[in-house]
Amino acid sequence: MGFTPEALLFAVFSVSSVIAALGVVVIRDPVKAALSLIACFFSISCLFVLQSAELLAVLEILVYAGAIMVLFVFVIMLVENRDEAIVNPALGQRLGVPLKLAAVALVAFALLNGVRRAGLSTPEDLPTDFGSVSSVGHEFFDNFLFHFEVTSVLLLVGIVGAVVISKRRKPQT
Amino acid sequence: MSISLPALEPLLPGLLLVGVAILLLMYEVFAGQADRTYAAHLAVVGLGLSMFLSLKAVGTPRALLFGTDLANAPLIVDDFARVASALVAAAGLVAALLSPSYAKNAGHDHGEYYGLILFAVVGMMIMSMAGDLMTFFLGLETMSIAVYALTGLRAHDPRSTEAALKYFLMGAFATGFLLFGIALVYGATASVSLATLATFKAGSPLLTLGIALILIGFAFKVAAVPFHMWAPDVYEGAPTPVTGFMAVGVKAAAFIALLRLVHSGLGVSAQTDSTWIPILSALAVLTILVGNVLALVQQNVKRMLAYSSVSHAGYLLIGVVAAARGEASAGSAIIFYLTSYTFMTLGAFGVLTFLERKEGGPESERYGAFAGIGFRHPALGMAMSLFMVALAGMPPTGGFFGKLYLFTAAIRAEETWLALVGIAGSLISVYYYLRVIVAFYMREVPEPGPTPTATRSAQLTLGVALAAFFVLQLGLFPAPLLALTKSAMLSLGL
Amino acid sequence: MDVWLPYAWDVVRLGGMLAILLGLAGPLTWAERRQSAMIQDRIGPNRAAIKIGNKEWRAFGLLHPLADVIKLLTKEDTVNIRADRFLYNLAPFISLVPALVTFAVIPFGPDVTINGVAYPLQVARLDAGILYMFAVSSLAVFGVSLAGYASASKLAMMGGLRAAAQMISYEVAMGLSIMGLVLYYGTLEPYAMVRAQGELLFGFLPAWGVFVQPLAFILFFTAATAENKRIPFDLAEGESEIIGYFVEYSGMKFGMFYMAEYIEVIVVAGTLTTLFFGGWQIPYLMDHGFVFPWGGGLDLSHAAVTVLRIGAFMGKLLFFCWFQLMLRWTLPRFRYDQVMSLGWRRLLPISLANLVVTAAVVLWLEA
Repeated sequence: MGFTPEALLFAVFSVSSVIAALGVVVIRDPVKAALSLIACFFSISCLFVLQSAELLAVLEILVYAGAIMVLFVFVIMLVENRDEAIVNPALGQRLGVPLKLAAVALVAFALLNGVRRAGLSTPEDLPTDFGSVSSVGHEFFDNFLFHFEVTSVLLLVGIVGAVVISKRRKPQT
Repeated sequence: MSISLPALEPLLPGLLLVGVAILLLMYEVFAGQADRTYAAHLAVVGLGLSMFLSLKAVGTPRALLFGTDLANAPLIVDDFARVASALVAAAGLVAALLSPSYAKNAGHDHGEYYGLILFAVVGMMIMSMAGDLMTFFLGLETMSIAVYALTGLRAHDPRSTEAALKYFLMGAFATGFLLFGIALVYGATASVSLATLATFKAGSPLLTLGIALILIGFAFKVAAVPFHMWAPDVYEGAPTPVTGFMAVGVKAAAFIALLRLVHSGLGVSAQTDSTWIPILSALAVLTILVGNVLALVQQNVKRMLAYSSVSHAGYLLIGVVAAARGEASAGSAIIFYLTSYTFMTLGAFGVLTFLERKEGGPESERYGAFAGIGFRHPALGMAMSLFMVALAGMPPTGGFFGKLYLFTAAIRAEETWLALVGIAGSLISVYYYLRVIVAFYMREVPEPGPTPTATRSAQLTLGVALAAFFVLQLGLFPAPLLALTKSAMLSLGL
Repeated sequence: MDVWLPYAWDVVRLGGMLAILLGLAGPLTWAERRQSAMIQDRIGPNRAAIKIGNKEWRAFGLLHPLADVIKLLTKEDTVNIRADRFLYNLAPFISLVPALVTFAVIPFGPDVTINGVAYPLQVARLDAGILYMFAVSSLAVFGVSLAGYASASKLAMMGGLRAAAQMISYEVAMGLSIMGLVLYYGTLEPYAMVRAQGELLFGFLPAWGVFVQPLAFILFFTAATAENKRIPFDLAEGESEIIGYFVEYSGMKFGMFYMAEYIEVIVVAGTLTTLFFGGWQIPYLMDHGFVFPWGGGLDLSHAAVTVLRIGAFMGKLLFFCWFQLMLRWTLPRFRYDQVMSLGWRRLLPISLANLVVTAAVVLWLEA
C-alpha cells in the first residue's frame, strides 16, 4: 500500500483514538475521562468513514457519543463531588500495572498476527453499495432477522429491569 | 427471506413465555394494589406448558430456524436444545412457585418480577439453541440483565442493592471479555457460526486468544475460581428464590451453551490445540478446592450455599474437560448433573424461603438461627436433610448419580486424577452440608428464643415438595432422565 | 484545472453554507429585538449609528449586531476562579460547532448542471444524512452541560442540568417523529427526500412532508424548539430566574453561545423547510418549467429554474426563522415538570403511534 491521503488520515485517527482511549484510563477527573472517551468514539467514527462504513460512523456518534455518553456525563455531573477524584489507586493496583501492560501486549500481538494472516480485502473488492443504509438494512432483515428481533426482547428486558429497580412504589397494604 | 408462522413452531416454548411475560407486564398497568399471586400462577402455567411442549418434541428431527443449514442458522432446535429448554423452564417454574409469599414479605410483589423470570428463562433457552456466537451472546444478555434486575428487587435492603450492583458490574465486565473474545474469533475466522468454527484449524493466536476470552466470560457466569468473587455477596443479597433461580438457571444455561460450544468450534480447537485441556483442568481443580474450603468456614447458610454452588461449577467443569477430550458420555452426565442440581438447590433455597423472617437481616441466615427447626417443622427438616444429602452426593438421591456419571466420564476420558479431586471435594463438602442438618436437629432450641415465623403458602409448599420429589425420583429411577440426556447428546452428533 | 474544480466547488459550497449561517445569525439577533419591540409596543434598538459627516446612519438599528460583536470581542474575558478552565474554555466551542455543521446535509438548491457536470448545492450528500443531522445535533448537549458544570456556579449548574435533561428527553421524540417521513419517502438522504417532495398527491397537492405527515410536523417542530431551548422551553436559560448555563461567561465566549442559539434557529428552519416544506421545491415547478395540474405551463431555462428554486429555499428558510422568533414573543414559559411530562408522556407516545400507523399505511400502499 503506497502513501495516500487515506493512509495519512487513517494513521492520524488511529493514533488519536489510541491516545483518547489511554486518556480514559489515565485521566483522574471523571468528566474529562468521559470526554476523552467521546474523543475516542469520534476517532473511531472517522476510521469507519475511511472504511466506507458511513452508516456505522453516524450511528457510532448518534448512539455512543450522543446518547450514552450524554447520560454518563449527566450522571457524573449530578453525583460527583468536585473536590475528590474517583480513582484512588492503591499499592496493589499499581503493582498490577506491569501485568496489565503484559496483557495488552499479548492482545496487541495476537491482533497484529491475525491481521497479518487474514489477508484483508482491498476497497476495490467491496460492492458499490457497501455500508449504505439499504445494504445494512437488508443484512438486518434478511440474514440477521432473528438477532434483530431478539435484540428487541433484550432491550425490553433492560427497560423493564431498570424501571422495576428504580421505580418508587407506594407500600402495599 | 420470509418466515412463515408455521416455521416458527419449534420456537413455541420460547414464544409462549415471551407472550406470557408481555401479558404480565401489560396487565401490571391495571393491576393496582392487587395481590400478585395470579402472576405467579400464570408464570407457572406458562413455564409448565413450555416445558411440556419442549419435552413432547424430543425425538422429532432437528429444526433449523432463520437459516437453511448449520452454517447460517442462528437457531438450532434439536433434542439437546429441547431437553435444555425443559430443564431451564423447570428451574423457572420451581423458582416462581417459591416466590409469592417471599415477594409479599420483602415488598417486591410485582407482576414484573415474574415477567423478568420468564424473560430470563427465554434467554437461557436461546443460549441452548444458539447456532452462532451472536445468538448465544444475545441469549446470555437477555438472561443476565433479567437476573441483575431480579437481584436488586429488595430495594429497601442495602445488601440487595449491593448485590445487584456487584453482580451487574461483574457481569458487565464478563460480558466485555466475552464480546471481545467473540470479536477476535470473528476476526480470525470471518464467521461466528459454530459449525463454521468447527472446520477452522486451530493455531491462530487470534483464535486462541478469542476462545480464551470467551472462556473467561463463561467462568464469570458460572462463578468458577478465580472469577467467583461476586458469588457470595450476590447470593446473600438477592431475594432467596432469586438466589435459587440464579444458582441453577444461570449455571445450567452457561454449561449447556459451553457444551454446545465444546462439541463444535471449541472442541475441535481443544483437541488440536493442547493448551485448553490443562487450563480447563486447572480451572476445575481450583474451583472445587477453593469453593469447598471456603464453604467450610462460612457462618451464613446462604453464603455457604454460594460457595457450594461454586464448587458444583467445579465438578461440572470436570465434565467439560472430559467432553473436550471427546468423551461422549460426559455431555449426558453434565445434563443429568445439572438437572439433579437444579432440584436440590432450588429445594434448599425453598426451605430457606420458608424460614425467612420478615425483618430479614444476616442474623436470620446463620446456622444458629436454624436451631431446632427439625423438631418444630418436621416436614421442613426432612426436606432440608434430603437436599443436603443430595448436595453432598450421597445415595439414594439424584446428587449421587449425578456425581457418579460425571466422575465415571472423567475416568473414561483418562482424567482419573480429576475425578479423584472431585471425590475429595465431595468428601469435604459432606462436612458443611451435614452441619446444616446438625443445626436443624442437634442444637438446643433457644428458649424462649425468636421463633422463626415460617412464611407459608401453598405454592411454596408445592415448590419444595416438587423439588424433593424429583431429587428422590432421580436417585431411585435415574434411567428415564439418562435416556433423555443420551438422546440430547445424540442430536449433537455423538 | 479540471482536477481542482471539484475541490474548488467544495470550498465554494462550504463557504456558501457558512455565509448563510453566519450572515443570517447577526441580522436574526436584530430581528428578534426589533420584532419583540414591535410586539411589546416599544421602539427597540435604534441607537447604534455611523456618523458620516454630519449625517447619522442608523439603518433601523441594523448596526446593533455589529456593535455587539465589537463589544463582545473587546470585553474582558472573566473566568470564575473556581472554574475548571479547560472545560470552561472548551464548552462554547462544543456548543457552536455542532450547530454549524448540522447544516452540511441540507440542500439549498437543486443540482446545478454546467457542461453536463452536476454540481450539488449541498455540502455533503450522505446516504444517512438525516441520521447525521441527529447525530451531530445530539452533541450540542455536551457544550451546554459542560458549560454549566465547569462554571462552578450553582445557577449555571442548574441551567446545565436542566438543559441536558430537556435535550435528552426531546431528542427521542424528535427522532421518532421524523421516521414516518423516512418510511414514506423511503430514504434517509435529504436531497432525495426533497426530490420526492416534488411529486404531486392526488394530482394537485405537492407531496410535501407537512401534507404527508401533518402530525409529525407539529411533533417535530415542538421537539426541535425544546431541543433549541427557546421559549416556551427556555427553562435552561429562564432569564428572569436562573440566567442559565452561560451565566458566568462573558466576552466572545458568551457571544459563541449566543451565536449558537441563532444558528440553531436557522438550522431548525432549514430542517423544517427540507423535510416538511419541500426544500427548494416550488409547487408545479418541474426541472424544465411550470406544469400546472389544470393544464398549461411555462417553460423556463435551467438557470431560471435553479435561481427560482434557490430563492424558494431561502424564502422558506427566512419564513421559518421569523416564525420561530414570533413564537418566542407570543408564548409564556412552561413549568419544568410540564416540560418533562409533555416530552415523555405526550410527544413520545404520540410520535410512536404516528410511526406505527405510518408503517402500516406504507405497507398497505405497497401491497
